[in-house]
Amino acid sequence: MKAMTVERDATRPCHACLARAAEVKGKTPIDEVTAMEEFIQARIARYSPDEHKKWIEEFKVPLSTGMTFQTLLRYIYENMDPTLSFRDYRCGRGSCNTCRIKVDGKAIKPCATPVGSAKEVLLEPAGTKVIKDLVISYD
Amino acid sequence: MAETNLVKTDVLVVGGGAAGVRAAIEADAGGADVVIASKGPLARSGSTPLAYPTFQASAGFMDARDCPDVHYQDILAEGKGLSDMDLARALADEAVDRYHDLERYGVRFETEEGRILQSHYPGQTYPRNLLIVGGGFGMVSGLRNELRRRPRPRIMEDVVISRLLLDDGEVAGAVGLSLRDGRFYVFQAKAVVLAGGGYEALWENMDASRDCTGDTITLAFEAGADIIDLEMTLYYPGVFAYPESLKGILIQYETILGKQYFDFRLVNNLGEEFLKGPLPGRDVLMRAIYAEIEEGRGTEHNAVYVDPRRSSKSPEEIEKMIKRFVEGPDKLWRKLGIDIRKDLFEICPAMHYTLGGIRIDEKTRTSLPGLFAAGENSSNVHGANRIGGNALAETQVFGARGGKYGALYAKKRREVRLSEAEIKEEVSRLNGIKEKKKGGIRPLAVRDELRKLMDRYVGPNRNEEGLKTALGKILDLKENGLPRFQAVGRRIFNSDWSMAIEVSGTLVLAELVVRSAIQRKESRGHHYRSDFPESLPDARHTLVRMKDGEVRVGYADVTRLG
Repeated sequence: MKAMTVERDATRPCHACLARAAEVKGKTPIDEVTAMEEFIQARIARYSPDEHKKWIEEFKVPLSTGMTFQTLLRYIYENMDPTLSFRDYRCGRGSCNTCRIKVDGKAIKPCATPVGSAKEVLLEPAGTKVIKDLVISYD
Repeated sequence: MAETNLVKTDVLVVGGGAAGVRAAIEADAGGADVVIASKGPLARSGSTPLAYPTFQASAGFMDARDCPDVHYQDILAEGKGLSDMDLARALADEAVDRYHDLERYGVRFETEEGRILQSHYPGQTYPRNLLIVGGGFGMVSGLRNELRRRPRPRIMEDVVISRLLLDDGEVAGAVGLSLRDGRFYVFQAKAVVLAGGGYEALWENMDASRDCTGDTITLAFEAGADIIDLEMTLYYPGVFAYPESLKGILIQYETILGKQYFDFRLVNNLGEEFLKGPLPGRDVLMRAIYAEIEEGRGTEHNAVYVDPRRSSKSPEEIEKMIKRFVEGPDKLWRKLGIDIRKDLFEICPAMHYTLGGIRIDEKTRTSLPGLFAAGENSSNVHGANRIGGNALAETQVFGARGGKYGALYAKKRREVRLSEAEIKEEVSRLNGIKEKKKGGIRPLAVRDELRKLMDRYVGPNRNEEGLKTALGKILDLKENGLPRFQAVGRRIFNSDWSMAIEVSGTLVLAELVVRSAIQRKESRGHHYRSDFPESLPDARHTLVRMKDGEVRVGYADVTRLG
């Protein structure tokens, strides 16, 4: 298996996001918590079972208010790469552990873990039975 | 034709939540060969894992006067004339036995000084809600463990069932796509039990899981089964509307807004407190919030603000209240950027539970022979409103019945035949959805547009004009969006592909919900029509059915007992 690195820039989707954020600013106090022009560099361990291929892919994602690792993954899937697979189920309260992944080597619950102030993170599947990308089997 | 895998069984259960797993256990106990197919990981998808920990059963631990008869009467009273009495009777009579089953499976219940606790919810004559340790996830984990202890049932996870197969008018199996290998599976079954949950995800503002897209109701409808009361959808008045990470998380509005508790105030975008007087009941509160949003006084995210700074309580009192009511959630909320002590935050009403679905009788039989249904996708035990605690009880009572009667039916049935033509047609439809095409689009945009229009026109406050607008827009999406769906990338775990299959079903179901809402020209329980604000003297189910390829809309009588 060959490892490779692909970098993607989210400049375009981010414009709309910034414009919206500017509009909202001043209306809701909580919007001021996060400076909107910040980005996070997400390095994701990808695996394509169809092609038997593994690689690390980088995404430059605009940070948004209260962003969790789950909304980060959702952002990438919806705006940057439709082929990214992860478990988007949610109890939303960090109790069922279905969405779990590893961030910088540590298992976390994406729905209940804010991305915080990290500039660069490595996201990997949190299990040995990997089906595709971050999706694992619980058998 | 892409090769398909054939799976033969006596009973096929569709759905991996509390009702489906219970059905699989009971069908196995009845000696049937069982396959359970779940769209996500077993016990980890759908609504059950995020259910509140209440299981309603008249065990009478807190008040010995409680009994199934009182439980039954409470269901009928809250159902406002729309509960099928045979189903209400079964739920009230068997909830206690099913609770004992759960204990045997290892599910634990909250106790105080050695006594099992039962809490008192609105609509209950006596305290009746048993409190499950670990909530809905605790319950379904116990059920999953019981199923896994049994050697015979076969569990298939990450399988999207997309069509039921018929053999001379009798249900004979199903076709599905396995996300794990990107291949099609044909299930040949003597009985099928549908337990696929509700359809909250047709709306954007909802507090259920994103995979609650009502797939099994659409499957049953397309196979010709009777579907009732789809307009009966239960709202919860307050969930976070923003930020995205908290969206859909429920706020205990009774305490947050209650004068005797937090006393936080609801405020519109003009900074006005729009609620006068004491905190009203759920329905009135929802409509008040909704009116502000509709009339342009809502927030950027179609919500209203909750302002903690206007509370009459001191910071010390608020701190005490947080400890008492929301200590755990408060930690998560703060982590995700909202401190309810000082931050203005946005809430809106959200779809919480869907009461309509596949019509069943007390043996969980649908109008199609060979097809059974249990849990939230079936209808209508609760009627026009549901008492908190009856949803989890329903999964167990009717899940067990579905497994039992499905197994009995399978035992009596001889070999079933499947139509190659039907299978071929479905496989080519599914492949067609994935295929690259000219002007092709991702299903995402259509899903989001549908969810927004359902929020806007099919919310807690409905009228004929809005519903007809919604219908026109849905038909337009069906005609101009659906045929352009495509999913780039490979076959295994292709999320756009499974979403495209899901959305093609939700467009069908959304049309049925709107047609049912137009059909019910009255207000009853959770269905409010501003153009028909009163209830009609006689309660009837609305009914939708597919006949000769067309949607028929009508009424059906509520089942009554002597």
